[in-house]
Amino acid sequence: MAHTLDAVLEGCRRGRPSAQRALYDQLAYRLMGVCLRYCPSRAEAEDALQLTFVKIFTRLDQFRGQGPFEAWARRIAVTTSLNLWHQHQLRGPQVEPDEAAELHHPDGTPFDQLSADDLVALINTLPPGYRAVLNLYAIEGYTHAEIGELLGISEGTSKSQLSRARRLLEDKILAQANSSPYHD
Amino acid sequence: MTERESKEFYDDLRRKLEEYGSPPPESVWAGIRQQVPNRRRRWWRGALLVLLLVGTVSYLTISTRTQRPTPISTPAAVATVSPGAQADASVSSGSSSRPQSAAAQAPSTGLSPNTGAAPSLATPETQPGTNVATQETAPTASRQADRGLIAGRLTDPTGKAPRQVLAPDSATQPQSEASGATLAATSTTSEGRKQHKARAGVALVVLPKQYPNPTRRQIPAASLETTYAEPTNKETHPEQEAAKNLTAGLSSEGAAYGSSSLPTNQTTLFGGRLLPLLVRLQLPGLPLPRPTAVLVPEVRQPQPIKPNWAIQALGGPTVSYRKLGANVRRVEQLERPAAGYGMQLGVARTLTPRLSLSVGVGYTEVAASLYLRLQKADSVPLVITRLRDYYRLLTVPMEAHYLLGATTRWRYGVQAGVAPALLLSARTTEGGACNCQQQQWQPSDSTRRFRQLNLTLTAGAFVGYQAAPGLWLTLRPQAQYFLNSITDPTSGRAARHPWSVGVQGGISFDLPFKP
Repeated sequence: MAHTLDAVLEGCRRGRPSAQRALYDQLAYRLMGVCLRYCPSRAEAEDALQLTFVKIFTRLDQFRGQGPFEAWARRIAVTTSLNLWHQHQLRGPQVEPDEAAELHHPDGTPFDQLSADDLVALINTLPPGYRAVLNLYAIEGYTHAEIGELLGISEGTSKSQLSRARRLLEDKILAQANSSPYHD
Repeated sequence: MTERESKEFYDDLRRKLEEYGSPPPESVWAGIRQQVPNRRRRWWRGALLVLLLVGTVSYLTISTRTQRPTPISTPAAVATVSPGAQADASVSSGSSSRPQSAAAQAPSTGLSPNTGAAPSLATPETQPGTNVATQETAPTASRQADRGLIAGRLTDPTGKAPRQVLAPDSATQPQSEASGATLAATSTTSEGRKQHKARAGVALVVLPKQYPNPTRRQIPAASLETTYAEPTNKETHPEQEAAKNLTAGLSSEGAAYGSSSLPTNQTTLFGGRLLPLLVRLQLPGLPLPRPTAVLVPEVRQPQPIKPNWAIQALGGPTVSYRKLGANVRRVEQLERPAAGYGMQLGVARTLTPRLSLSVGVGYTEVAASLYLRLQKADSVPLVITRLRDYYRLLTVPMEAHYLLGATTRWRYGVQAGVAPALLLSARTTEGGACNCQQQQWQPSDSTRRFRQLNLTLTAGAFVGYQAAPGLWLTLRPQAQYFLNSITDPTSGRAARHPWSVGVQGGISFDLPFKP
């Protein structure tokens, strides 16, 4: 598999469309999931995925093989999605963090009753800032310092937004679970 | 919620979404293909390089043939030498093209192969019809034997033999009459052979300084040509005899050779192809004086090629920017100049001594840069992006060059012209949804964002240095301006007229003149 991926990457470095297509087929599904978690809409996630692969193909020489290639690609997808999110913020109205902070948060994390799609849909209902911090910290494994640098916020802000995001998500998950027809 | 509970929540969340994904639509891949440059299309760069290389080699081949001195043979010398002396006469004959036949034509010279210089001074019988150069000689053979020091080296048949002069202190010697042996060696060129017309060479004889009344005589070329022009003239002059004697002497053992060239204006008497010669003979029993001066120090300059057609290859960096029309978007106002480049390969035709026209094929890139700092409302910098927009075009430069001044080595002038430019590709920020994402454009795109066919105006100056005959190193500071907007007027974008300034350097080959 690794040998196959190396061959594909070498072909991509040479600009071969067939290799680029092979890499796209291999990564597009999961990277689309990354983009969907950060972008406010599917259309923007598709734009982010497209830009992600353009960056991957044009900056492939920057990949030194010091880690898994997919991790490098996911990082590009995350930063690309965040850039689009920033641009979306600059263009249109957004949910202010203070509004979301008023929501209370119950305890409990009933993930088992939710599919991944439902869970992502719930995450996408979070305020963009919260959603980004939650995704970066919980899913991607970034530290608060890295999140602060990436989003241009302080570490304290990152921590507080993460805490609020978790509570909001728990509320939504609980509400979703309570409204589910399979919930007893 | 405790810290542990939070950690469990995040772990559950990560596990749940670890393999989360979604199949993207096919349009995403189409968009990727549109934006990713296809490196395979750069084959033309290699082709251009090969073309340049082939052109250079071709020119050098042609140039070498044109510049190479025409082989000179001395049929008269061969004619006066007995066949047995051929082996020793490889230099004196000056030609190996037809030595046997030449010798056969004039076998009777009264010389033996190993007779040395003394026999060469004996007056041989002149064979009727023998091509002999006419020249003045010393009155007697004995005086020649006393004083004769004939400098010169005849060129080998291919004309490749190095020419040098060994003339003892002769440059300062006054010319006097009939006291030294003066020799004219007849010569033919390959061209002359083809035309069945004899050509004559010139040789000088110089006496050493220690001999009184030294003489250095230069044979009037016109008289030589006259003699050769009438090969059937059976009248034998003393000069002819002396010439034959000395020529025969060249074939003898112990001869020392040197050679030189005459001024160009003398060579023109022989069709501009003849290389005059100096011949020096060392007679037996006489010490060979050391050369103390060069008789003809002038280095023979290759005949300048009269330019008619020229091939030129140029390339260099530019600084490019743009002139915008109305309805300029904010992001376009943020553009800054950027580095680009241009190159061209073409031919030039000289119309008048000062005016020439050129046409060719070129490739140019004009660009603009963007330095964006995307900020939130609280002025905290979020994203710093450096972007470079470019337009790559295939051009057909058609220029007029006016020569303002020139020397042997240098020339300079001004130039102006137009160049139809075909837009090959572009990468711009114009079409992005947020104005900060670049998009690739190619002619196959359905969107009519740019004009594919454009017209540019170029103007500038040029300076050239002739590194070798016909080979010019050229520098061209020039400016280029798009006469039309490169953006399509129906796209709603602001009119954009890219321009650039830069310096192109390269080489230019003057092809051999063909009237």
